Amino acid sequence: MKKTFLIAAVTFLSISSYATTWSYNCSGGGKVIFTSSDDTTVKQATAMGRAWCDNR
Amino acid sequence: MKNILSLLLIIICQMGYTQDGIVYYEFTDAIGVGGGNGEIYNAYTMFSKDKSYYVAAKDSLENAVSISKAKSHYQNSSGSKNKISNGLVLSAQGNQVVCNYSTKRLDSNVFDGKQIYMSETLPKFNWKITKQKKKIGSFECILGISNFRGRKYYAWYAPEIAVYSGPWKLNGLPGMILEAYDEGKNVMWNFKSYKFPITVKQDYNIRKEKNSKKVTFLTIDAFKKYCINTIESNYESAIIIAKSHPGMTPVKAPMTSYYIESFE
Repeated sequence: MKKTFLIAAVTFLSISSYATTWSYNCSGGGKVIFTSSDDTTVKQATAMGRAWCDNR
Repeated sequence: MKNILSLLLIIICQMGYTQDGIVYYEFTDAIGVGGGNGEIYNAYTMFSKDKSYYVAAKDSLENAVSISKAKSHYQNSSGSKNKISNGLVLSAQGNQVVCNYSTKRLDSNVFDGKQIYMSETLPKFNWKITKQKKKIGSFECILGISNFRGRKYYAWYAPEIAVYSGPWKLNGLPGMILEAYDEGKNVMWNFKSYKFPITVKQDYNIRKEKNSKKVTFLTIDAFKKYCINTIESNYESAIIIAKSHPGMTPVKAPMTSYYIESFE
């Protein structure tokens, strides 16, 4: 049980340390925050942010 | 006798008008990224002995160059925190704060896609005045430190300008605050210039939207609820959008990642 918990904690820490946080500001106000893997490009993050601003 | 009285009245009126001054700042919104990496807005605080009026993010204070310059990708030094900005978020009224030191009231508004107005008791800061000094412009300034609604603020004030004012809601130091920032430099106010006296009579009231019939001022508790609900509903709509964008995981970040103030 202890071992499983330890593995889960280490896995979580390694995933979270490689996550990139994005804050996308809409032109008319409001913002959305999301994470992605650290190889995500600005273009991909922009697409997500723009879609949110247009459809929220 | 009548002439003397008239002359005295004019002098008294002149003295009344010459109590006002103004400090111009650059306000940096690096919320969510920190390190002062964010959009730069023009701002000012107008002050008298017992009142102050602060405004930033106002249409008329910016120009096409500053709006376009703000449209950028900001990130922290490790690249783990990113902010994509579509330029400055402006409104005709701007984000205003009016402090009345006599009535101990503070009125403010923020533009969050729509105008939100608030009214509260003037917040009391528990400033710790340090021995650190530096010169800002031609003023000898002293550093004061205080926590306020989720952030630790460092404020440099000029005792020579003997008012309790500053940028945004920061107040209560024995001198005008000329520079301020929070611990992670998510928000920063940098001194640009100072003018004293202003001889034209100033208006220390919140400017409201022109076509709004009735404006409701929220209490600070109602504003807290508004922030919580907005974060929640934005998160829920982001989950739906993220289904079409693999690899993107919406998060409900702490309130300080969205707003200057946190009530958590």
